[in-house]
Amino acid sequence: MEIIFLLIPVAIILVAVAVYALHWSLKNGQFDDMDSPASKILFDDDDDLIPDDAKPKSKS
Amino acid sequence: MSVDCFHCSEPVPPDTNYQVKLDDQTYAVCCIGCQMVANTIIDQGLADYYRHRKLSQGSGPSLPANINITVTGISHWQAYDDSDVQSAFVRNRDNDEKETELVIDGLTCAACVWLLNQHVGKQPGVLHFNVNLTTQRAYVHWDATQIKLSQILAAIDTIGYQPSPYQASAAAQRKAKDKRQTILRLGIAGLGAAQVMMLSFGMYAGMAQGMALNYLHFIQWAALVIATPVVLYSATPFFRAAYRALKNRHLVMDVPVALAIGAAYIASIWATVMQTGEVYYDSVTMFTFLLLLGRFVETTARYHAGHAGNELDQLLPPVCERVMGKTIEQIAINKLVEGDLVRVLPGATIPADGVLEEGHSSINEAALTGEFMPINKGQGDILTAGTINVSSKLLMRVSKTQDDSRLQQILSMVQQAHGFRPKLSKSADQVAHYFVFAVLMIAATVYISWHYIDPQRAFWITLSVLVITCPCALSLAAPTSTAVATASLRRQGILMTREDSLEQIAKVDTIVFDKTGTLTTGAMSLQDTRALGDLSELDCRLLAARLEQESEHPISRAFRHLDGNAFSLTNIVNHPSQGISANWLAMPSKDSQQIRLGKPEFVAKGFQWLAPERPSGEGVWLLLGCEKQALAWLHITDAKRPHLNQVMQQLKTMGMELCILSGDHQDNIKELAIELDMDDWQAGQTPAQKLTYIQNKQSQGKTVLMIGDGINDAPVMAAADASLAMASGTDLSKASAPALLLRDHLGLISVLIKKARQTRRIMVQNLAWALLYNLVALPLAAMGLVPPWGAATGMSFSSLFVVLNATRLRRIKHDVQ
Repeated sequence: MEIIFLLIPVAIILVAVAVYALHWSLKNGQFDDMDSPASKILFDDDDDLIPDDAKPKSKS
Repeated sequence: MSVDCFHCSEPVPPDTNYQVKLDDQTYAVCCIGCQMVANTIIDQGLADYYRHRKLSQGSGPSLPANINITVTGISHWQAYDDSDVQSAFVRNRDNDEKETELVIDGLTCAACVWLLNQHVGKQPGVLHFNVNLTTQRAYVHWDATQIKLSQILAAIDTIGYQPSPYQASAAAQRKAKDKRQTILRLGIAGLGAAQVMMLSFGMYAGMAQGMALNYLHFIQWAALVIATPVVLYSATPFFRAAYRALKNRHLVMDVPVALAIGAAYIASIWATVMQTGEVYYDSVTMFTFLLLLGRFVETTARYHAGHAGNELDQLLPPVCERVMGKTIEQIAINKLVEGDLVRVLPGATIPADGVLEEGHSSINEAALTGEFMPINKGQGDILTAGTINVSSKLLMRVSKTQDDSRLQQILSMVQQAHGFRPKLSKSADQVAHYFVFAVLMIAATVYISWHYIDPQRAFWITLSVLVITCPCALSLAAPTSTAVATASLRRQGILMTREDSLEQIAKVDTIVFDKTGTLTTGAMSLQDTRALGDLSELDCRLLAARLEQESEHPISRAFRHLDGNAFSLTNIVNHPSQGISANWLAMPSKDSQQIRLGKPEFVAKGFQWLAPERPSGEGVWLLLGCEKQALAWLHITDAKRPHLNQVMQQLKTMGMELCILSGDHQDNIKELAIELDMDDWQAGQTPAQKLTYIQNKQSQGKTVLMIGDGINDAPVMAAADASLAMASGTDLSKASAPALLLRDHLGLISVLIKKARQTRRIMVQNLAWALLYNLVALPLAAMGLVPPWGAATGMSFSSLFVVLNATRLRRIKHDVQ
């Protein structure tokens, strides 16, 4: 069970990385608007992302 | 059968015929503004907006896309290209690039964000455009050589939103920083709690199965390392609040929380170092996380900016015309000084407080008083910044600069009223007071008793008592309920700017209504057309609409929804305070004749026939006439809001006492009060008298809800136990009321009261549960039967119950169309 002497410090380091990532994304303004992204993902506005051969033959 | 406008969801007025075509289908819209905007959206290939909007707003009643859409031309925005004006809010970057933030009025859901991003973001020269729905602001970064700011603003305007420059006040910037810090604290507490919990499970297993000491110590040290930033950073708000409260001799919920977290943390460090006793890192981190979560949920509801417009700058134009000797120059408003002479054209907003120096005009003071009839002003009269000059150009001598203006003073007063929390303490706070006292007493008793029985365990048992009774559930009971209720109300169109007023609204038994703007729409509307001559009613209306197109008088708004181009007229002359005359090429005779619209005497005298008798009925009766004869009476009045009778009946079945308090004349009020079956009505009231009336009711033990819209209602609304502002009300009244209707439907009042009562019930249930849990857990802890894992589990479970119970407030049971 000596492995926990390694694993637990590794876990602590990972938590520190996670906290830093949170801090960075806050500074980047990613938490400023928490309402519109929720509905935006449902919009059908990704036509330009569909590869050409997957598009329906006639565009209505 | 009434149809709703395809674009803005307001009812389509009868005999208008505006339409838009989309996908081979025709839809009705309510006015030319909506038609222009909808066509722009469809022509730009952005019709998906309407599909996305349905998706965003879900099955609930749809919020209007915009109230009163008017599309202004590009010339309106050109003032913003001026470098003086831009210096206030635009930042320059390298390579001729500029950036700024704009307040966008009219955003209701994510579809609006999508539409703006698509339309404005794709303009050539716009490098970055991002709309934030929560704060109702947009960030725009553009290349000044390719596109001008005025073009960007016009682009926003053509799809139906109103942009204005955003100047971050210090308070707003601090709020944004606070929010980020809160999220960071919450994140650290959450991550820390999860890690420590996992480590603690190892320790619990160790207690059950036996564990080698070196592993136990190692895990305890690891837990200490992770718990430290949680306590020293995430939990600091509690320590600060507890310190402040104790300094002021108040016992608030934060006191036992800070005590429990602090004592448990220090004791656990002692236990880790000295290798004796239990460690409570799991409870400490869990407390911090759950309590921070509760507070965050509470404050997020407040960040929802349901309406922009608290800033004074929103009310004033950016530039004005200053007269220097013979020349007139355009300057930014903030450059005006006392003594400057300013020219104000008809239709323009008065830029500063001052005295009328030359000219006569009528001034629309609706921004200040809500009164839509213009007031005549002559030389020597006082003019106020933010009001609108209606009929003629005038010269004004500035008497106060922007910072000293009357508008600014009122704004400061309103902001002060916000900070002042009178009399009432929330029931949760009262419970907290007794609870905290009881807990501290019990903890002390437990410590002393155990000291005699088994001194070694005394401290640890007291600690477990503090931890287990720590009011996690109690702290969460109120904030979660109000936050969920606030979100649910917002989906139905009611915005709570102060959630603690929900409690007051639940107790309301008397409702006081203002009349103009509240029970009535507050705007002129065409009620009736009575044809008197050879022309049909519809033709008379359309003729009048064409005549009124050139007028700035509020009465002309009653005709805005009609097609003003049905007839062509020449030589249109506006006779101030009298009426309008023009020449009309009447078919089929093809000879031009003069027509007049306005006061009966004006019309009749012009043609020298006798004016017919003015029909009875309040409001304004305009006469339309031509050389031969009188053509029609047009009745313009302030229309009542729809469904008033049903609304009042519904409120009465809920046990409400209803009254009208108005500054209007007695006859008008009496008629309305009797028709709506009001319990009481008072006419001709000054704001001071309204205040006295409400205070009388309050001294009789009643809880009063005041509903109004004008700025002069603001002190009355502050005195009432709760108040509600109309969506179409003045910005200042909206800023001073704790609750605000996003749709002007009075049926929402009963929705609000019912939800407030439901919230109160759920809060009481939560409090009762929290107390019950403590009553069971406390004796167990006092007897030394609760190990650390028991404390942590019990506390999590009770908090979970409280939160789940609060989510019952999400259901929308009483919907209003």
